[in-house]
Amino acid sequence: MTHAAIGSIAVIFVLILFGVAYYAHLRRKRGSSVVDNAHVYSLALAIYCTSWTYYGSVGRAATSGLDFLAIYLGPTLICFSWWFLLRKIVIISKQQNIGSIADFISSRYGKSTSLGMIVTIFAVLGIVPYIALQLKAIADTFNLLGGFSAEHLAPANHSISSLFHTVDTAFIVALVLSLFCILFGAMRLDSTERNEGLIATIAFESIIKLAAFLAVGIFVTYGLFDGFTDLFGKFLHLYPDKKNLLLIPTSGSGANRWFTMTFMSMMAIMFLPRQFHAMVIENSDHNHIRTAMWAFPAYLFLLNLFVIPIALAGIITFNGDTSMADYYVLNLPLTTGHNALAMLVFIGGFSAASGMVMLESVASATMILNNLVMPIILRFNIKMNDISGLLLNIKRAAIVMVIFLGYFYYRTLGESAALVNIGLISFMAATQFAPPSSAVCIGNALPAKAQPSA
Amino acid sequence: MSEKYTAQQRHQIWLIFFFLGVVMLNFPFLQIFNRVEQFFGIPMLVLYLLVGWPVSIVVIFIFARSISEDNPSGGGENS
Repeated sequence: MTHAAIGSIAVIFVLILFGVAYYAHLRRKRGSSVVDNAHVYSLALAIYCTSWTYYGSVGRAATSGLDFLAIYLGPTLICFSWWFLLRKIVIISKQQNIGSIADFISSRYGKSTSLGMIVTIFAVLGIVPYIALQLKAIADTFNLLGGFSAEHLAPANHSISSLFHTVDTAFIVALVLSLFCILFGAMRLDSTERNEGLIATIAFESIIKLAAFLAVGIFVTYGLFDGFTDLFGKFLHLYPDKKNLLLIPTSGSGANRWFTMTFMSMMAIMFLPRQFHAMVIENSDHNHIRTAMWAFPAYLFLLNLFVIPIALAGIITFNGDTSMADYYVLNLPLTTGHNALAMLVFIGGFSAASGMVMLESVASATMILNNLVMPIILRFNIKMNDISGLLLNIKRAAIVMVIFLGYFYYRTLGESAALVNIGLISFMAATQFAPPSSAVCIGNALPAKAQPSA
Repeated sequence: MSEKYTAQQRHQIWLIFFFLGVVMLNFPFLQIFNRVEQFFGIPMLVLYLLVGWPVSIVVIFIFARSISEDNPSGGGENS
């Protein structure tokens, strides 16, 4: 496929996203929200599944076995607690007008300004590699689809050759996503007010990424091979030395690593800034948690159902070469000549990556504005005629800054690390927020009539 | 599970299932299935996780269905 064709389809998809966001915005204005229901809420939580899940899980499964599943089993386990834990967090946040994870943690300590600043700085620094990972995935897949080989996947060679000789793919992606976030994520200043356009887009993208992944999974498992049994049989026959890929590695500290990853993913699903934003800040009715607590793990299960078959199919098809295992999902339909399916996979991966970048940058910009900029303005008692206009522009600048920090991280360090390893850095950062957040939950008693059912 | 369970009982049931889930999806319990022997042509661990995972989702589903809704303003449930 030519870059122009791929670029055009990507632009059409982005225009559809704008359409969805605008429609949700219009419906809200008319007073009939499309976002205000439990299913859209559950789909919005699927923002957890980024390009790390979409491409990286297959890469991990093909190179180190089943330990990638810990990242999805952890959230499934913590979902048991949502009616008690998440519901309490949502109610506390609404009562105290909480706008971000930084507000939430500092609220326990007398709305401490310095604590809010520390949380913001750690949260932003923690998610920069994660944003870089998404930009890397979009740029790599764009170039793979355009016919570049593996050696062209270094960031320096990411230029869209026919159109922009000097501008690389990830830069254009970062620019478009910044524009989208400014339009639909920073329309107002009130950070506790919900961004319906953005959430509608993210729910829509969650449907697209699941549909695309299931399509490629069914194609690989039942089109290229003859079902699960056939795939496992062929794999074990051809690569008996790789049978450890069907196990959880337990050599050395393998069992400890499994437990640690399960625990970190439990904390990440609760405390990554974008998860907190989607689950708590954008929640319109805490009864939606009742549906989300089973619908969200069901989504995770469906998305992971075909990861192992695709990984094994990739190993068999590419004769045991796992150097490009992160992109088996795209390469399998591409090498078998199914370009339309490959395009669908690209759009699915684009959805997974762009949704994450958008929500993460909006959540971070809210934190930067409320916890870094506002205290400085109050401290120095800056007086202006149009302070709200200035603040809104600062929020927009913060969105662009966060996305481009990710871009620069990708340009400088992104070449060396695999998708999953970059993502784990951010999970580690989110896990740091668990102890103070627990303190907020323990320290805040709900009013008697809103006590969780425990 | 239905209205006959009090809030406290429900909390206890949740705790039991949560810890059961943690034990069943961690080592050393997982070691029982961490082998390549096949069952119906599918490796044992893959089969265990592909069956155990939906089972835990069904448990959450049944649990969630047993909870009665709060009123949106944050009122308590009828239990």
